[in-house]
Amino acid sequence: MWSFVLKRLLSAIPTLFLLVALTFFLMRVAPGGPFDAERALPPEVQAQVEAAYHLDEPVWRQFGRYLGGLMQGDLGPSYQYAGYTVNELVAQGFPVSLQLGMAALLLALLLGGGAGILAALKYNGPADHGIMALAMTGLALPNFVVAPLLVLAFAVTLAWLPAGGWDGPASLVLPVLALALPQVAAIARLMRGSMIEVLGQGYVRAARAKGLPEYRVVLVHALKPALMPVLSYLGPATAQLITGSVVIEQIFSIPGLGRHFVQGALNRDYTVVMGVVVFYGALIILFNLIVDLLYGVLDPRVRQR
Amino acid sequence: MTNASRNLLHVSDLKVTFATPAGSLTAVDGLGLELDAGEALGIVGESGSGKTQTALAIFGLLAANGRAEGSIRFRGQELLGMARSQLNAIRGAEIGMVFQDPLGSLNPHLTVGTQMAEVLVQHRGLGRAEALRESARMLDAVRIADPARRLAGYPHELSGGMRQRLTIAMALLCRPKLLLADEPTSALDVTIQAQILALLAELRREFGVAVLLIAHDLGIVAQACDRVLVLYAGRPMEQGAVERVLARPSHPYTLGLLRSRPRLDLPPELPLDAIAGQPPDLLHPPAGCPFEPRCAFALDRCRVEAPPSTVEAGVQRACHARAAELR
Amino acid sequence: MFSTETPSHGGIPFLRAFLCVSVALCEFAFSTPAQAVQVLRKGNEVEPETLDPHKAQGISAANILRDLYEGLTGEAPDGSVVPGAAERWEVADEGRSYTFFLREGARWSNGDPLTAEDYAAGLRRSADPRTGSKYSQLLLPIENADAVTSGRLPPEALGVGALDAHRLQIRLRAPAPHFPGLLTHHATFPVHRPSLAAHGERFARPGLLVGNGAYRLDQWVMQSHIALVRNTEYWDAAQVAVDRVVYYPTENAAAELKRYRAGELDWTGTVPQNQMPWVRQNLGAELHATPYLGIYYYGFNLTRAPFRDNPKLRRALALAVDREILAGKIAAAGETPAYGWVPPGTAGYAPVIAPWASWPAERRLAEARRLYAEAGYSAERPLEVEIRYNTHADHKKIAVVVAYMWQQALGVRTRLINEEWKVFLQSRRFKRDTQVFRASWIGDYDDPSSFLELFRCGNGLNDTGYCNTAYDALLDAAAAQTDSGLRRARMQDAERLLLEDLPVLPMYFYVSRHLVKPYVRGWRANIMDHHYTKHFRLPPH
Repeated sequence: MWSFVLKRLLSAIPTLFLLVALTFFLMRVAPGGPFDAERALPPEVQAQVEAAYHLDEPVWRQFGRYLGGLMQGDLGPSYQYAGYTVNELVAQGFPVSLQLGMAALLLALLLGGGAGILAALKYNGPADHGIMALAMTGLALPNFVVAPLLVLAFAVTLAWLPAGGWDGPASLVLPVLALALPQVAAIARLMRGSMIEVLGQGYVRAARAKGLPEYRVVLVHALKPALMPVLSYLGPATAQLITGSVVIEQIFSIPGLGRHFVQGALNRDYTVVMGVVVFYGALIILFNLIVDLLYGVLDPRVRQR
Repeated sequence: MTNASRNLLHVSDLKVTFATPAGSLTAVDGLGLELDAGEALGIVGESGSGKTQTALAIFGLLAANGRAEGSIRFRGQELLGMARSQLNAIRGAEIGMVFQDPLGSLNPHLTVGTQMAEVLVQHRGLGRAEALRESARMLDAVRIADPARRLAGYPHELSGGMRQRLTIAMALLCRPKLLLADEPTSALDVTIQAQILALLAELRREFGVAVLLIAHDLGIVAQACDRVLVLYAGRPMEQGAVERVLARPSHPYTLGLLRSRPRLDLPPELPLDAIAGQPPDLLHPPAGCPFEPRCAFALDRCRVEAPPSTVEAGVQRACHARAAELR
Repeated sequence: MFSTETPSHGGIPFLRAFLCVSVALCEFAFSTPAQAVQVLRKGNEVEPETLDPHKAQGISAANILRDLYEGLTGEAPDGSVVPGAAERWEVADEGRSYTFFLREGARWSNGDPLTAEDYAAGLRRSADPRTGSKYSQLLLPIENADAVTSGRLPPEALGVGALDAHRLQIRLRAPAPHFPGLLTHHATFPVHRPSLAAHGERFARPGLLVGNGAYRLDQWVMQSHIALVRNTEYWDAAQVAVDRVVYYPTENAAAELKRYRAGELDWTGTVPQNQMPWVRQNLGAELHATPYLGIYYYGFNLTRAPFRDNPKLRRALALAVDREILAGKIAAAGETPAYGWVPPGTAGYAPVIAPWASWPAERRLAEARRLYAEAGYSAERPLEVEIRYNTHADHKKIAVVVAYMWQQALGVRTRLINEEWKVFLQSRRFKRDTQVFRASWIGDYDDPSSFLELFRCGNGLNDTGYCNTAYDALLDAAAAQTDSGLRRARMQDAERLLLEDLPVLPMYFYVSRHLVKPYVRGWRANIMDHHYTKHFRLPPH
């Protein structure tokens, strides 16, 4: 197994390099620079500032400079936030996004998985139809519709939970819920489908024929194989939950990494965007690796390969 | 026939129907059989004759749209309509089941040991370590070498024949009184088949377990069973001692089956003497005898009147024609 | 409670209880309640990029800097210029020399004495091109500022100097009566030199930032909040009521409104436009919508066709727009239609209104059609023009309506092009592709020159390419006047000329919108929308 992990990690390096290079050059192709503003700088001043950030050098040299810094783990200074380095911004924002994403993932797995299993057990019954209808709604309603509705209901009208901010566990509830709901729906559908398939398998029938109680049949015999499709979905979904919470972060004023990502691109803050891209790229590669390893755990037949 | 309450298994008037969008499908109709302790009964029929559904009905494992009516009494207890929890106490403990496809009935994600031990843990309340020891003993009994390694391993690491032995071992762990084997050798090659059947016979002797063997091959039944029941279109055609039924069949269908077997003592180029025609549509079961369209001995009344089940010379048969006329 | 036994026994326990309770109540009523900490929670729209006073840009940063630092002059709640860190100043040399007298015992928030040299250093740093300040035009009245900001002279050459620890002298290139007002802007704030020397660029961070304002920086959690606590070293700290002010970045206006309604904010940075009717109806008493020193307009690109050398066409298009509808129905937050360039309410000024402002609609449209035809366009040969705007639903709305008005009145065919912000800025600046473009301008200081200077020939912010020597001459003439009346007159002349030439199409003047909880006391309407936290108080609520 370790050779497998090592091989994957090594092959990640060219992928990351490609990612960095593509992003670097694409960003510079986009019109507009980090220091363009409505209140324009006088050209001499702009020239000075750009020189201070090495933006007057030829692009390939800037790239080399950036790579050099990257090797040492230095993601460079932020152009937008003077006095802050990208490392600091990422270090500040990532734990928040991580908490948000992981909590949402957990909720989605528990709720979605549970709902999916329930729907599969009550296949074609009213409970099944009800759960799937809810799942469809959850998938169809976008984040930015659900989140404000939740805020309106629970924060403004009922005043049970805060409407925004990031202090204390109470402020976690609504954003995690809003972030998790589409995933709950997706996982419920996936789980239901694969569970129905697994429950129709011969070995489930054989398990029942052994006189095992239903909960054991479902949780021990059926759940593991049913998890496989869900697991495949989880790899990219986790990355998405951690990175794609921009909308939620904005609506709930959460100091996460997602906002830096989007704002950085809009502000042409090259280093911030690069830093976040490198970071996310590494995360996604890591998550996919974990998923592949988990396949081996779930399905012993995979391990032989 | 012996008293119903003293039979190990007594099935009477079993009818299994399925509710399909196209209508109600009758898979089994009017089936009756008895089995005593230690006996081996074979159920024979072609695909779709309802053999497997009979086994599933006994186990309460019919699909969601299936219904079983009639009576299935096991050691005096009525299984049809029994509560799930009660049924679970019987399944696996007092009746064991061996399925047709060993790979399909073993969970590829769980170790062999887990799958075996859980039966003992559930039904006999053993601890896991004790259960694994007992499982190892059972693996020995079915002649699987190196039981400790096998228990730690997974089903896909075993060959087909070994897997089937494993399922037999699993079914016998709790020393059930009855073993239901649904086409246990159909998925295996001939040489392995013979081994499995020999094993079954041996285990029958060793553990004193009754066997209900389902097969589509008369030869298997001849080898392994004392009595045989011939099913066609879900209805019993003939039932009796194996030697008697095979030597002198008292039903046109049985006769047809026997005749259609390929024979080693005849030239291979000779066409097989197959039974012409198709089984009837189970959605619209015929009023008369289901075999009538293909029967060489059909009478006019066969089409309109279903033949009742009668007993002649120790053999139960459902046919309007006279047994003596069947040649 | 009352015992049914001997009355004397029953009475005494009751009396005792009564006495105990009364005494307790008395103690409660007469004891001084513990001093509650006054915390003001403000929605501040965008996250500021930096709190370095000479690098910061934007309203969000300015709001916070106003609490962290104090300039030589300050603003009263209504916006008028009052002494700040300087308790008085003297003007000499016909308005070309100012001497500011700092208050005795003035200190930085860490206790260091505040000296005139700190202000001189701040001004030099602000003018230094290496700092990259976006407000260097503000300093242009100062002697040599022009040369310093363009790098021709070193910052030391700037016409500022500390005469001693308490007196700062500033020499101007020409008299500028509005100069004291400029010194309220954060680009002129002092710098704590030891911090700058020790930490360089990083000095403007919590734990390191040393200021001289009513508050000091306590916490900055990016994208979460910026918390300020009272600065005990501030000269007027005794008058400051609010102990703690927290600024929240609230980019999503709808979300901000919800937080306000949920009681998490005492003050919103804005109100979403599409919810204004609801807010007016349900939170009307808490809504403060007051005129703001800003204008929404469309600019014409005068460097290329069709608007180059074509004043008639420009006037035709300007006349064909019904500003009442735009301001009243589309923007609908109380904006006033703009028939001039300098917003009404600008200090010491009477705005110029275009003559056609009072014409009835038919006359306006008739004149528009006449001019359109004279410019060479007709139904057979209609004008095809593009309106370019930065992507936003509000701007799209206006563009669609304007295009419709042009089409109805004149038959103009309009293309609408929207671009992402940075791309849009570049397009405007390059003047290669633009024809009509959307723009807005917010005045940096409360003086008409903050609006009129925009159209000086060669001004980097002048995306219209307007260049009229007569206009520049009028601005220069105004700048040379010491008499405020004559100065005003010259500026009005300039504005009139601008409205003749119409390099722009003024639409409406902005309104600042805030929701403020009723328990926040001290609000005064202010055309610059500058509110210093030290002017507010929150009695217990």
